[in-house]
Amino acid sequence: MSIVVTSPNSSHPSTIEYNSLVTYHLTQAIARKYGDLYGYQ
Amino acid sequence: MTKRKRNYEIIINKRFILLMILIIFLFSLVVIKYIDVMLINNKKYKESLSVLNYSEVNGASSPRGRIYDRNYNIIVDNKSLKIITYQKSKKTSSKEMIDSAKLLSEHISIDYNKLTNRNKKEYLCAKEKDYCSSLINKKDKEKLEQRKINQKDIYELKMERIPDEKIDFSDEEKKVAYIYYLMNKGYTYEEKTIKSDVTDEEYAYVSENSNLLPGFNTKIDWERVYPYGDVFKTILGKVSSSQQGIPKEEKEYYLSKGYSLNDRVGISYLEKEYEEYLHGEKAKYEVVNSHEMKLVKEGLRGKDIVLSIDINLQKDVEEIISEYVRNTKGEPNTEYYDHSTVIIQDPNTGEILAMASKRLVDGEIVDNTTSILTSPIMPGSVVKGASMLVGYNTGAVHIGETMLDECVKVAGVQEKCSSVDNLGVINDITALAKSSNVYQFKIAIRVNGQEYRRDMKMNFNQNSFDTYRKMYRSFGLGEKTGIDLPVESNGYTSKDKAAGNLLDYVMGQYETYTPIQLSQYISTIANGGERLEPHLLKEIHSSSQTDEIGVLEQKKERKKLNNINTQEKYINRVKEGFIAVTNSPGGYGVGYMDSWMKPAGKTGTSQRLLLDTLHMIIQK
Repeated sequence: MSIVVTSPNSSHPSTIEYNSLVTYHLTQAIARKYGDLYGYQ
Repeated sequence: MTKRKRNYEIIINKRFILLMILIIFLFSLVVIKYIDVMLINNKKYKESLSVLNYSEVNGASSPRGRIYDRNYNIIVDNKSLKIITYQKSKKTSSKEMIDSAKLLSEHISIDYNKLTNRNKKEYLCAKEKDYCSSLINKKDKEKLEQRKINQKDIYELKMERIPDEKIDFSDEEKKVAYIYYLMNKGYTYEEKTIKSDVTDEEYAYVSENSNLLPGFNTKIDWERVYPYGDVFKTILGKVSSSQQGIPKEEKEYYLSKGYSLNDRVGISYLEKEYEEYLHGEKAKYEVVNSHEMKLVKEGLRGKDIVLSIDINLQKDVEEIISEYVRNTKGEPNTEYYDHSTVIIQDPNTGEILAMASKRLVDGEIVDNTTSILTSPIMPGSVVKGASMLVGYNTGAVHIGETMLDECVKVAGVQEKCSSVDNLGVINDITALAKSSNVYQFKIAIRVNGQEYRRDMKMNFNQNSFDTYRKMYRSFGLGEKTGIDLPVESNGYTSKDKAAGNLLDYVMGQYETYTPIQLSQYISTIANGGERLEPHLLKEIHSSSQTDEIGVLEQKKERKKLNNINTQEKYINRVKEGFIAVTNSPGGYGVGYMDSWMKPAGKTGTSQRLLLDTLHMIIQK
């Protein structure tokens, strides 16, 4: 299954690490929800 | 003299005989035709006569087909509504219509806010014919006689010349005028909906007083209902009301398909895309005489469709995005952040299981899902899988080749590095895992026909751009994906011609693509190089008159748009690199998904002033 997650403009240039965190946590949550519903085959 | 007289008699006799022969011949023709009509082909002529006399009209619209999710949960259904309709008969006069409208207006409530000045003027001219005729002067009549203008022009002149004070109606008059307008909307003898969702009292009044309200009737109509509320509602689309009818801009198209002006049709997204299956078939009536009609064919609900969407997954995805968007705005340095987007797609079939985007507007979460199709974003490094394939295909890089990740300086272009720290000597897998820009730069310079050295001058070579563009396009980046929705954008193709832009291009900082294009791209890598059409439709079922779904008629087949022009070993190498992104130590995607889910993927970040972020994960 392919999962695409985008979070444009999610951070100020000086805090480049932060913008990764938004999508990072969102991706984790979505992937786990998919796993809950469909199993992890 | 006698001889002359005799000659005259002979001539007259001959003429008489000729005339008699002619009369007998013509009479014979009539007799033959009579025998043909009455005896030989009597059946055929009777049939022709009945065809000529036959007149058929449509009844009120039938309910649309239902929409199900992939697990056969109903996500769009119909609810019955009580309605009042009107159908004009051939002998009804304008005065009778106005009298009926007036009587009805005294017994129903109706919102007449949409009544226009034009509607008022038309009502006035129907009510006060003499007054409107007085607005036409002698010169106008002369022009009409001379055929310089026609009756339509005369009518328009009347409309123009009615002063505003003449249509300054009371509320009661406006109500009558609006009902009269609804009675005349669309085709003359078609059935029109005057009011939907009427009260029991209104319904009972019209039902019991049909003798006082000729042409008016009560019926049960329908409206769309959504058992899952607003979940996926934007993409499910909308249906026009009877008052809206078919869209003006598509009038010719729908009329050519046999629709009527006041027919209810899908006007956006899936309701529009699958109108041909979802719309119901209206009942048909034969006009027996001016006061009688006979039902010829019962109305039929539209066909049911099944989507690839899992509505429960969709609901959870929407809730999760909403929660994250709201919470993220509470964090520091997020003044420019306002939305996130998720697409979950089966890369082997093209089926979309969930797609959602939520945006924060004035503190409220609003649906933004259509941006998946229409709003391009800077992709960042996610395109490096396609960029690497260009390197392999052109021989600019070989599988396993190592290069030094160092800051690259080209004349006239600002120094470019991979990240804060140089990555040292790396191979193609590590280059993808740690998203090395420099590895891609050095490949691009070779594709451009040069070899990197510090402060080198890079030549502009259109072929290099074209080579990369061709590869990106074959993945659907910058091309319409073919998703089964009526709206989709191409993304943005830059035309800025500077040699240094090639370096931006290969690391995803030059063109913009829509999220659905990115989903098609990552799916194509995941399935080994087949670019498939993403789609929301899964099945079409026959019209059902029960609560059960109809019989399966058609399954949506996977549609391959093209293969990626590369070798299997190269695309497998890119997949290996994507696995390293999420699994190898130092990989930029480690932790996005739990390792026991066997993830693979690619991260990307735009380097513009306002940062875009984007991440893709593929479950193996």
